[in-house]
Amino acid sequence: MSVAALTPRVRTIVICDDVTESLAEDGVYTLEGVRSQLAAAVLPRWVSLTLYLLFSCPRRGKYFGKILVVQERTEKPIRYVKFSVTFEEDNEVLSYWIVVDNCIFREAGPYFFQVYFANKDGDEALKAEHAFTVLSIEE
Amino acid sequence: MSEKANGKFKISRLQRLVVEDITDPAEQARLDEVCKRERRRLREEEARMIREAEEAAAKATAK
Repeated sequence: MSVAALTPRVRTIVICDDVTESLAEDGVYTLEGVRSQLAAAVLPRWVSLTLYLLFSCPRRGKYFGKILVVQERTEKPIRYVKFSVTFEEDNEVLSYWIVVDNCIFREAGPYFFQVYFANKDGDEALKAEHAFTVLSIEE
Repeated sequence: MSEKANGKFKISRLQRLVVEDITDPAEQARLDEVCKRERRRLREEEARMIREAEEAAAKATAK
């Protein structure tokens, strides 16, 4: 079977500024500043962004993933991070928020947030990506 | 009937997942290649899906 078929599925990616927990209702969260773009008065622009991610997997187990922030023009990542998730049961759905700090956008233009998962041999498959645009607004 | 068919997915409570930087240049170089390969695969897959949709639409029009 292919790597894609043996690794968790990424059901949702939301890029936002922050995630806050509700003080009124247990288990309820607010995604603040949901965005698919960033307006930068000055480049390079350093920014910390938060991802809301929903994973599902038919098979329980521990899986290793990576998030790459990729500039479309060069097809080269500008940020590399790794993580692991554990599905305790078959058909479990896991929801997470992740802070991807130190993103340095040197140029305006299109970028992608990509999520990869690896199989037991370490082979990786791109499971989902979310477009993100950096706009230059000169003062 | 499977759990999936029953809609009995167990959805976890939202929690923070802490990530770790990948700073090893060799690992970054390897991921650069993975990224290029997967972007190419995605583009080919999208082109195939568009081609199949156009073929299906053409067949439907011809009937």
